[in-house]
Amino acid sequence: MFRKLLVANRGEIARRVLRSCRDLGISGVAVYSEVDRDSLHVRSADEAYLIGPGPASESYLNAAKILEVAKKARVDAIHPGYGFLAENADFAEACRENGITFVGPTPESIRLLGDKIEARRLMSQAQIPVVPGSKELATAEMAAMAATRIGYPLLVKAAAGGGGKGIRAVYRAEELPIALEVASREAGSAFGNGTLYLEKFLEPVRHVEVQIIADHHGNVIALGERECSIQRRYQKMIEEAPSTAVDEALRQRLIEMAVRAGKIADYVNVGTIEFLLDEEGNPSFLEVNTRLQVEHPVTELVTGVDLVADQLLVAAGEPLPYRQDEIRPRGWAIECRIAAEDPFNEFLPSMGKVSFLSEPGGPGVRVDSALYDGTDIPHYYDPLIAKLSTRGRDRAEAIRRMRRALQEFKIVGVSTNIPFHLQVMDNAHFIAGTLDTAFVEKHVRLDQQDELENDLENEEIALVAASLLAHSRRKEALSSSSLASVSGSPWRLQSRRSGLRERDWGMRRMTWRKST
Amino acid sequence: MMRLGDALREVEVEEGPNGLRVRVNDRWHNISLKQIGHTGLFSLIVDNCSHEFFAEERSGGFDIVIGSREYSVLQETREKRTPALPARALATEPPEAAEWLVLSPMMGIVREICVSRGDTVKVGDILMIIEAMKMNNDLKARRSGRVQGVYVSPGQRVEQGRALLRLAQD
Repeated sequence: MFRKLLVANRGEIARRVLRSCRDLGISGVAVYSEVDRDSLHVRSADEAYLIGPGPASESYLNAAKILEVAKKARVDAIHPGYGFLAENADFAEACRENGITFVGPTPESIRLLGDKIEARRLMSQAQIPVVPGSKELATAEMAAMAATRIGYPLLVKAAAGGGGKGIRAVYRAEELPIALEVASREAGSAFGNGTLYLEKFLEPVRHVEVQIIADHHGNVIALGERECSIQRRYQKMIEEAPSTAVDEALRQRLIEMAVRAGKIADYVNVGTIEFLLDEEGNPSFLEVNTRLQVEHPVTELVTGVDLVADQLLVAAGEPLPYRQDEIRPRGWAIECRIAAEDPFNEFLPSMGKVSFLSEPGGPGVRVDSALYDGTDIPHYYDPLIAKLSTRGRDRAEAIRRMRRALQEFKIVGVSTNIPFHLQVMDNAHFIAGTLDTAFVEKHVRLDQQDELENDLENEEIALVAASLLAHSRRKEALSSSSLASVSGSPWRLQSRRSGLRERDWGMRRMTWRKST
Repeated sequence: MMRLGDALREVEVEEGPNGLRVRVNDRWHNISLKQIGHTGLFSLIVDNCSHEFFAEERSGGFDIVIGSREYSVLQETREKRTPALPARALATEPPEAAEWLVLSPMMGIVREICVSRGDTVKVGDILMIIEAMKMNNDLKARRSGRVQGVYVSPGQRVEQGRALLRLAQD
């Protein structure tokens, strides 16, 4: 096993990896940008190295600098987390050339599967059904012909795509040229490669993926499926394991296909085989993610496997400690991605300082976060600030626990999408498990949120609360010994301005002042 | 007197031998209020029912957050009180002036200006439409008069409290 490992990431995932390092007695090395000096991943590591200014391109994406630190710190492995350099084949190769183990698949696998067109071709060869689509689009004429063959609606996608970038939906032929242009430009700037292909836009469809893990001894094991249909703009927001759309027969089929995919790609370490599932439950291959996924905790919660620890194990050359028939998912797990986004304002990112934090706990609750009182949410990075996962004996219990945990989760100072998650947990379609990738679009309306049932009671409480505070202010003025001041505190309260506030406007439609 | 939205409510706070009591709607409730550390987080127990809220002081009152909803509660002293509700009269309305400014009640974008200089307006006439939070809000005249000046133009972004119009007694 490794002696010392560098985590080339930040935030919750850096902490997640460092925790497994601690568990395994591996010394953990953090890297950080100038704006992350106070971060928990820095404070919870054994060693920490500054790698550059805030912008990711000058710090967490600076492969040369990270390798320099790795050599200086004499680490024997690098874990890339997700995002940043996680799917960068050149970085994986540079690690190898420097005699440092990259915790992930080989550079060859990353390169092969990272090219979505190549991955589709490979899976077709392995007799795995693939979402109907095209090869690389060389010219606009070729694109138009391919589009006619596939039929509309379709998606224009980047061969090097990821994270929802470089994807455009096209509903009619006349929209195609502009979609090609926009997607190519976006992919070019995001991935340095503007190559595009077309894919049939299947709807309604579910997004179901299979977690695999493979060692250097030819073992490829599938750890069951995850359902990731709750998305917004191709970004996953809520994931669960298992999926309500997968019965035992389909599960066996998905596992068999995922293992076959892993074997044909000569895969090692963890990976995710993504499928689309149509209404009849027919799966078709979408793409492979050659990294640890954000949503890995739900798989861990139902299988009891520590994916990061096992990543380290197989990266160190050890055989997998379990066989396929020993993997028996139990219960149900759900993850909500808590992001610093304002769900009442088109999910715009919310920057600032967390002035008060209280994380949930109790039965069946897991929090992966890097939050602390006073956390600064910088604008340079992803708005994901925490992952809240719950596990239950069944799905209903997992949902009830999620609802409770979301209510317990108090983050003040920045807006978060917790109200969005609460609304989904109360949604009848979600509770029934009838999901598809258009769920958020179809069923979530935060701007028209129904009045909460206990609103009248809360109005009374607010009234009493304000009266008491006003009372204590008056007392304070007399005795100067009462509640500590709450004025001038930098609280941006995470809340929806209540309907009352809007009515309040109505009342104050006009303000009268003497003109000067 | 506390104002919450349209409702003007009387809440009496009393410190008795058994601790704090409040009276709302002619009913007395036993109270225990604790501030948690030096934060804006408070624990409030009303007749043994436990509640939690965040408070932020604002001019004339407090913003109270319960769950993910915010309630603005304004404090109004008895002297300023004007009894007529629902006359939608501002309780703190100062004495009438011969000339006055109409200020923007919200941050938003001026969508339409329905009056121009020299027009006379009656109570309830729409002066302009301001878009905020994707809603068009009618700004109505609360007092009749003649438009003396228009300080904004359509499409313009205005802050809360920005002077929009000047009116005078006709």
